[in-house]
Amino acid sequence: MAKHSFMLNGQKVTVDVEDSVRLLWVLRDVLGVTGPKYGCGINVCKACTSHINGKAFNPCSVQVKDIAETDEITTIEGLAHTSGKALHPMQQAWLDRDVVQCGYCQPGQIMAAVALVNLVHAQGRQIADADLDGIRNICRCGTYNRIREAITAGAQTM
Amino acid sequence: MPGVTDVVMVDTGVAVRAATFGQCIDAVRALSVQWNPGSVEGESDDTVLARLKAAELPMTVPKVPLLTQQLDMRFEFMFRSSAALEPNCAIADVRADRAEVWAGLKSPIVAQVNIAKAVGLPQTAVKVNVVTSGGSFGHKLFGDGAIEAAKISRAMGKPVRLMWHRCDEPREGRTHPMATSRIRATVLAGNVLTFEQRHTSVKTDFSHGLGERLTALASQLPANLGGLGLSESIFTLTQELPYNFGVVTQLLNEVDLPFNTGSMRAIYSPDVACANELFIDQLAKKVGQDPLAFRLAFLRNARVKAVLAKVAQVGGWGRRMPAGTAQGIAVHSEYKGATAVLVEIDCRPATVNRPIRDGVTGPRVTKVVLAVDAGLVVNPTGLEAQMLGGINDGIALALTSSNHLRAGAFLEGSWDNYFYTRQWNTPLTTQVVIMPSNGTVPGGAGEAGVPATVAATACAYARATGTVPTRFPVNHGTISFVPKTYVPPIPPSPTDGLSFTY
Repeated sequence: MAKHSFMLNGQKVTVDVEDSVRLLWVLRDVLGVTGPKYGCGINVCKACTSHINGKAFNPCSVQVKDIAETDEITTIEGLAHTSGKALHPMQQAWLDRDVVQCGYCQPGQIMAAVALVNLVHAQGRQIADADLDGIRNICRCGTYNRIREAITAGAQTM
Repeated sequence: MPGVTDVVMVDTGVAVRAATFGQCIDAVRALSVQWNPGSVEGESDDTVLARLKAAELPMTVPKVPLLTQQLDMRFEFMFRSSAALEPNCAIADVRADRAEVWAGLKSPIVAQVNIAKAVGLPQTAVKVNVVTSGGSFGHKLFGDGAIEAAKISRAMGKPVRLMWHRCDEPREGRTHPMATSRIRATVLAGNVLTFEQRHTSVKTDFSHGLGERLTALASQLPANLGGLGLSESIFTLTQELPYNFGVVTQLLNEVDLPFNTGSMRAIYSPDVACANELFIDQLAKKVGQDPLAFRLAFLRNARVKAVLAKVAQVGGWGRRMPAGTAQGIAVHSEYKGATAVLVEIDCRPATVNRPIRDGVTGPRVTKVVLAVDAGLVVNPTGLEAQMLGGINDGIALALTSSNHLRAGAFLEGSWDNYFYTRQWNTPLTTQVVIMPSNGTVPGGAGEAGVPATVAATACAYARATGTVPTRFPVNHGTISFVPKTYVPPIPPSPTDGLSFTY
């Protein structure tokens, strides 16, 4: 066991776990932050998508020892705070379009969507079908069509 | 090992309890277990298909006039996984005199009965809490995770929060059974005289009953269902051909094989509708008629005709499609309602050969128009959502998603093996038309979008490629992944996640 500190949703946290514990389980099982979900554990399904220093990443495949004290981890729980509003524009778009069915993949979907739009906007472009086609987050309920609509709408207010 | 508190053997396997699930996975990987042969040791897709073929009931030789044309076709539908993105999971706290369980459950009282039996407690001593959960597609009719968690809690003498790891989901979880469907029809002077369908399936597990209250009423089923088993009764009650095809018989025969099957996505309907509608396209071709015109001429149900006409109009049936692309159209009648789907598919090489990492692309359904008559419509936005989900599922069932059985085990171990529809294969244009609310009864909607989508996709694929697929999903013959480890039962958790940030 060893102490590991990092920034989580705007607050500093410290946990006492083995170096090799993947961050997903530090978040869920040690810290009780259950927004990021387990869908595969091998960085395929993308259900655990969260942000590290503003970029999308999958904590199921990152050991806690590889997170620095100054790294800022954002999960779905902390997304709104980053926008300075009650809800992040992408979350609002999700509600407006009534995207969610079972809900299991949706925290990851929203985090992935925000990172994708940020990336596309940084490239000086608008979201296009090719970008949306490249989203790897699985939705077994099949909400893809509304996800695409919500991302396109949310992007316009980001 | 770090974090591990308990390891016990239960009848379904070996359970590891630890402080974090990651440490459970590490410990599971380290287990040294003496495994007995599985319940389907040595079986494969081919051996099961052979068993189904041997059980297929003969078609009748219909007594029809000379010069009648006959069409025979046979279709095969492979095993499919009902795994959701949320794995089987439950919380169980079993004590000497009582137990409490939390899980996603569709038949909680049936689960309560089974949990009580499993841990040797009276039913009244078991408290079952139903929680919001992540997708079922049929498998949460069974209390698989809840019952197992209860057994483990009893064995460990501690409360447990059970979660299956991903590899167990397609390999050990509930599956849509493999099935074949044979159809024979006879046609004379523009009339279809007979339509005979024989559906042969690995046995579908209905042990959850129809909910405890309905199962208790089963003895009061109409007399002409007497003598039919539960599966056959469900088949007879759910399958309905909405066409004037003379003498119509649709029969189910099941083969009892020890697979973990269950109702999944409209039970028999996706396979039956796919077989029917693809067959009807060939029948139309045989008599030189357009698929839409043929259907409109023979449909005997006004609501089905209306949804069919609607998608044809909204979707532009008959518009000129470039070579290698085509439209497909299909209907389905069930759940006190009707659906029709128009699909446009792109089977051109540039589309089929799109590169993708750890996935499959293949043909792409580019456009879907679905019309649904669900009787009394309560929540149109919700109804549309249910259809959208069914569309994505139908596309997967027709084109890309199946389990492969080899040497007594399914190959698939995660979502980079089991190819459910992804963003790169979801239609670019989707339109759901909700027919005006009618009647006083809401029809079923949760699975209603699936059968006609599978069927229309199959029809479109046939028209685009000039070949008639007879095995589904269409890509089953190609294995596009390296199977993951069996011993240990799950691969190690990666450590390179920070290489994939964006």
